[in-house]
Amino acid sequence: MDHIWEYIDGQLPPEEAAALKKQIEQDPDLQAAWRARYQLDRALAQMEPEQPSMRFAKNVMEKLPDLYGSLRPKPLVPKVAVRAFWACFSLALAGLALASNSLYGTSRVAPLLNQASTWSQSVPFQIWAIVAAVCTAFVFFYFLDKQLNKRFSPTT
Amino acid sequence: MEEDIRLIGLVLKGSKPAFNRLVVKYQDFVFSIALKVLKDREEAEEAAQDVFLKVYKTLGSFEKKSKFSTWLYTITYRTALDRTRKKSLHTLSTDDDDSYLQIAGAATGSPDEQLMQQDLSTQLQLAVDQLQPADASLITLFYLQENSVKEVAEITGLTVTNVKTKLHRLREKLKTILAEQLKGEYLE
Repeated sequence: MDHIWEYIDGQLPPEEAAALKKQIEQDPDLQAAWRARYQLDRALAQMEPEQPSMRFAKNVMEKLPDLYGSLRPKPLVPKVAVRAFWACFSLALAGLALASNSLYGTSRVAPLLNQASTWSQSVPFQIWAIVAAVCTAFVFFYFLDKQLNKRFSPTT
Repeated sequence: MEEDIRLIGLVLKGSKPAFNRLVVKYQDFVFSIALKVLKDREEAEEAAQDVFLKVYKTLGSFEKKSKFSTWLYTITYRTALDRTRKKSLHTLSTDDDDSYLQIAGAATGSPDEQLMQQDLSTQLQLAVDQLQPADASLITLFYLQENSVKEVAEITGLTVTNVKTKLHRLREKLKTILAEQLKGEYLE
């Protein structure tokens, strides 16, 4: 009878399945045995799953611990931009200092700084001022973004 | 399958509504498996809730090598069996013990009255319920969501050959029970 179940489950090799099919067609007893099992198989396949209570999903959801944090909105400023900003900001501050130094007095700092001071003189002071203003605005919006993110993201 | 993976991704990012969708999608199947093992609706519902909580806590460890449903049913099957063991219910194999089987409804009403009152699906449900818990869940796993023999083996921890053999024997047993219940008017 195992072969009949294998035949019904579609697990017999094609040639064996074909041979058994022929046998079933010719042998009334075998046909009755196959029909009984086939009917059972179909009846089992049509069984409906049991249903839990209506509140089941709600009960599960109420018991869920907070494990994975909540979905946070993506920050407006990507990390790369933040790093680039700090590099530019530092450079702007240094440039501004050196430019001021070159404008308002003789440098008394180390020779390396003197060289930098000479280079910075080639860039107009206004340019350094603009860079500094842009950087300051960048800092302002960066921290504003962080604060808003913190305030309005769903709690974990 | 793809829908499940997408929902899992969202859950791991913190979306509880995504998990709710997974619960709603699979609750009937998880509950059915638990019920087949535990044979008690209240207990099965508690077990099914435990299953979903376990799944939620360990979702990060789901490797996506097999279907999510296979992983879920494996947890369900083991959780239900653990609960059965804790209740000290004996869970002998059908191969070892036939005494578990009793003919449903044999003591009440005439066979004709039973046939009039109960349809085939009810009789079949009764027949499945008479199987031992682990065996009833095997039938449920194989038929309810059309799991393959290989998936049933993965869920239950049995070998493929063992699952095939058990399925053959269990269905023969069901046929006998049904034939007895329906007094030969169906299935031979």
